[in-house]
Amino acid sequence: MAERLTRRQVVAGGGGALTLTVLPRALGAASVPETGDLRAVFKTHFGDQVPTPGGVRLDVSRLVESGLSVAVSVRGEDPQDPPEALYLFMPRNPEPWGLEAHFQAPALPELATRIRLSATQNLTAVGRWADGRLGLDSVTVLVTRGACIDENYGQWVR
Amino acid sequence: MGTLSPPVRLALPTEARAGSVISLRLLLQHPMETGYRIGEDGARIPRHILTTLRVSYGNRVIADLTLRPAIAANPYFALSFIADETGPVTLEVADDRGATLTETRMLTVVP
Repeated sequence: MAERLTRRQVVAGGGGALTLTVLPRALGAASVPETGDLRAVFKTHFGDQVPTPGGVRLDVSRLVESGLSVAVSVRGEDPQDPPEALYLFMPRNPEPWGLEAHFQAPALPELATRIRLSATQNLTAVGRWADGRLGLDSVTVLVTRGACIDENYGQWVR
Repeated sequence: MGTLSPPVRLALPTEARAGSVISLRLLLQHPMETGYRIGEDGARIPRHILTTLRVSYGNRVIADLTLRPAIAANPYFALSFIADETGPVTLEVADDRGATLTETRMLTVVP
């Protein structure tokens, strides 16, 4: 049977070290909100290809009062090299895949709409070119009030 | 099945110069119910969303959008294209219960 630790032993031993290692992480988590991870979502949509920053431009307010309706606009940056498809991903929404738009000339590869955001997150736009290239732009949007305000709020914020 | 209510607003010029950029703005009336909300009775409110928006110009489909629950209720879309021929601009919208809406406007292109 294991000997019970006295308070004195805990303080002198590992307890102090444990507190020191755990505390900064907890503080860090509180000050930097979780912004979501899209790796799995990218894998589903684009296979082994990983989008790299550049080529598309995402315009959205960085601080929104309500996640129920957030104005966003996405476009391909170079008019000479238009992407054939644009995607919007909301990593912390219950469903991260939010929108997919395919364009064909004479349409310009640009789009504005209003979306829902369940919580503060890295809203990400991805462009896909005909030759298979992928580009992304990402903006951390601080959401004061998420789109999923009801008694199940916590359930849907990933 | 059925027909969706006509667009609250569809802004599209009727006449344009060849080569000019046309902006198409569309405001639709739809609950875009996500399927995640719980109603007063404690039951899940079933999903009811628009699923597609397709824009054709002449005989070409120029924009094809797949919509998901992350699109806000009463969806708004702004798209743009270059006027290159006189022809119909057609919007086709469908929701996940089979309701559809087709709107056509003529665009006259002057040189």
